[in-house]
Amino acid sequence: MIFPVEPLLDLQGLEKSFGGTRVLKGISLSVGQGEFLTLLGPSGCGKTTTLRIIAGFETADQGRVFLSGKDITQVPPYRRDIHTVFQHYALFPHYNVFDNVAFGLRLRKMNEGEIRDRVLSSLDLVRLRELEGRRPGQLSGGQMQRVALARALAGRPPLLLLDEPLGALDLKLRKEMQLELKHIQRRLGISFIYVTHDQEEAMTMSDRVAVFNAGRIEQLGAPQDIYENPETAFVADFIGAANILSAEVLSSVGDFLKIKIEGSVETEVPKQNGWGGAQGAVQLALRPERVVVSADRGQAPESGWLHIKGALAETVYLGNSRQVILRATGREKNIVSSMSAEAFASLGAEVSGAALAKFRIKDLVLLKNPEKEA
Amino acid sequence: MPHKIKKFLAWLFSGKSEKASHILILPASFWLAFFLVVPIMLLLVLSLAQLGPYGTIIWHPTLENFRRVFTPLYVPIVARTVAYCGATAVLCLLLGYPTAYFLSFYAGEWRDTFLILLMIPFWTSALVSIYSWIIILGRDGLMNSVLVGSGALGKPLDVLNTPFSVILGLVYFYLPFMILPLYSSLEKIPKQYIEASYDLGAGAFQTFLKVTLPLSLPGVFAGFILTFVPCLGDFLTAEFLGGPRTYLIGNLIENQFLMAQDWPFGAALTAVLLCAMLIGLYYYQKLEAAELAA
Ligand SMILES: Nc1ncnc2c1ncn2[C@@H]1O[C@H](COP(=O)(O)OP(=O)(O)O)[C@@H](O)[C@H]1O
Ligand SMILES: [Mg+2]
Repeated sequence: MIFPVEPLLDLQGLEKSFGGTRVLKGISLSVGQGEFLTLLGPSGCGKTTTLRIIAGFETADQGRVFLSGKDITQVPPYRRDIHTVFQHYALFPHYNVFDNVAFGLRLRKMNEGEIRDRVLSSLDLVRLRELEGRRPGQLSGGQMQRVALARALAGRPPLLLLDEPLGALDLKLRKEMQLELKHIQRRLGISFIYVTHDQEEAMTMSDRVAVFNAGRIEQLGAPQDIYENPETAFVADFIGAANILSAEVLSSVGDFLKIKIEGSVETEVPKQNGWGGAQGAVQLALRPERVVVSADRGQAPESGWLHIKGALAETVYLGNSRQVILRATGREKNIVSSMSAEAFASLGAEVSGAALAKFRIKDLVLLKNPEKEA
Repeated sequence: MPHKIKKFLAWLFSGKSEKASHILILPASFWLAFFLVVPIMLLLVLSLAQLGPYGTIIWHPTLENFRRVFTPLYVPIVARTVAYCGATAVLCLLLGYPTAYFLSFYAGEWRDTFLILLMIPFWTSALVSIYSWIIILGRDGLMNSVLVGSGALGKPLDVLNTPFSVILGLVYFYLPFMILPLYSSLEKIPKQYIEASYDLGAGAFQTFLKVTLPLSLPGVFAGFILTFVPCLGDFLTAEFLGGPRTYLIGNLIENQFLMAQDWPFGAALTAVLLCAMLIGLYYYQKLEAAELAA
């Protein structure tokens, strides 16, 4: 993404080690004004550490942090115009809801009338005005979450950091809060950096997602972009699951590449999506919902389609869809297909023995080879 | 037979049988009954008796001893005791809070070493400590030798047998009782509250005033009770480091038993003091229970 104006936050090459273990291995990213950016990745990949460096609780071993163009790498947390919604809320137990929300405002020498207005409008934002007199101990998890949000928003910082803020809530409440958070963010025009390990949450809320893996950003882009064009096997599998197929580039013929998938199926694919320069061993991602399983009656693939032969291993009932797992012949990993209930029903009891995994050639996504990268 | 013993032991330590719990608590119960409850009963009975000639005791119930406790004659001693113990507790707090703060936030890997050093005075005899103070503070002691010898002072200071030396001794003895509860309450404060405070724009000192200090108040209260209350009964410190002008309730009681031979009055004084201490401890317990509930 190219910013027409200066980005609000700019991280340049952050490195961090804890006791000899490299936790961040060069994190660079920019956050625009009013943008909702999500740091997504499995537990332990360095999301919280990145957030803590932005907030100022940790200092990076290498790299710089810029806020509105100013280098704040060495600025202590209390002088950064950034507020945090902590993973476990961290509401002050000795203050009631009102005083928690007023905490930051009181430090700014605002008068009590102004503070009161600001606190109440922040509580209105999270629909908790009537609880202003309660102590944190008397609130439910969802209410504490909202108070923490109101407290962080009360000072209207240009940038808010949220570390798995919905992690402790049950599914229904989490869905509600996702919408509400997004709504509040839009309304206030504040930039959010949101940490989660839940890919669905990341996809529904974010303008852009940074997919973290073991201290690096694996891919950065809009949710749809990341979903449709994953660059690495990790991203393809972490975002919405994927079958990773290995293939070999045999030759380049005009506008086509001749490849051999899984050591058996040979096909020609058009040079697109950066296929042009690919050579040797490559990896391809294939979404389960783009795979159809059917009985193998020895039929030839229709034009534009490929078949992988195998045997039906297992089906898993998922309510509105059905996961069909095919044990492919001569392949270690199974092929997973996600079929609608109807499609599965039409398949019927036919497929008990030999089966086919069918997919369109254009649904194959060529992945960057991680070895070539390093 | 060994099988039966094994079974018995398994039952005893199962943690489930009420009878087993009674058996386990039995030795300590006997100990407390004989060496604490019985003496206190005797003391209470004694406080109701009368003093006969030559220190004999006449077993005729009277409240005369308690009336005497509350006569104006002893008001200055009570007031002095409360003042000294209050001063001791406050000084312990002023010295102890920074120490506990240091232990909790700065000591790092040295923390356990410092905590053990803090306990060492407990393992030495009180008399040894007191004599050390006499050696340091005396007219020809260490402090005066240094001050006079270096020419800082013309003549030695008379520090011993003054309120200063008594309070100094009391602070010396009770300081660890302040530091430990303070330390433990500071330790319990989750670091995320402190980070949240920084995050909202409070600097280090503001964070101390608005977050750390209020959250450590239970420790302050506990430390205050744990220094003030036992200090009320202290007599050794005033006996050795003080003089007639620093006479405390503890000394008054000691005197009734050892010099004046007026055991009934001594018993009444003790009973009243004990009551005051129990009230203090009751509030301490209540506070602790409230803290646990929170
Ligand atoms: N203060 C610390 N001391 C030592 N190791 C740490 C510290 N903070 C984080 N780590 C380690 O760094 C790695 C990344 O942690 P974190 O940033 O919390 O991951 P995430 O938030 O993505 O789950 C983990 O392996 C974690 O154990
Ligand atoms: Mg984390």
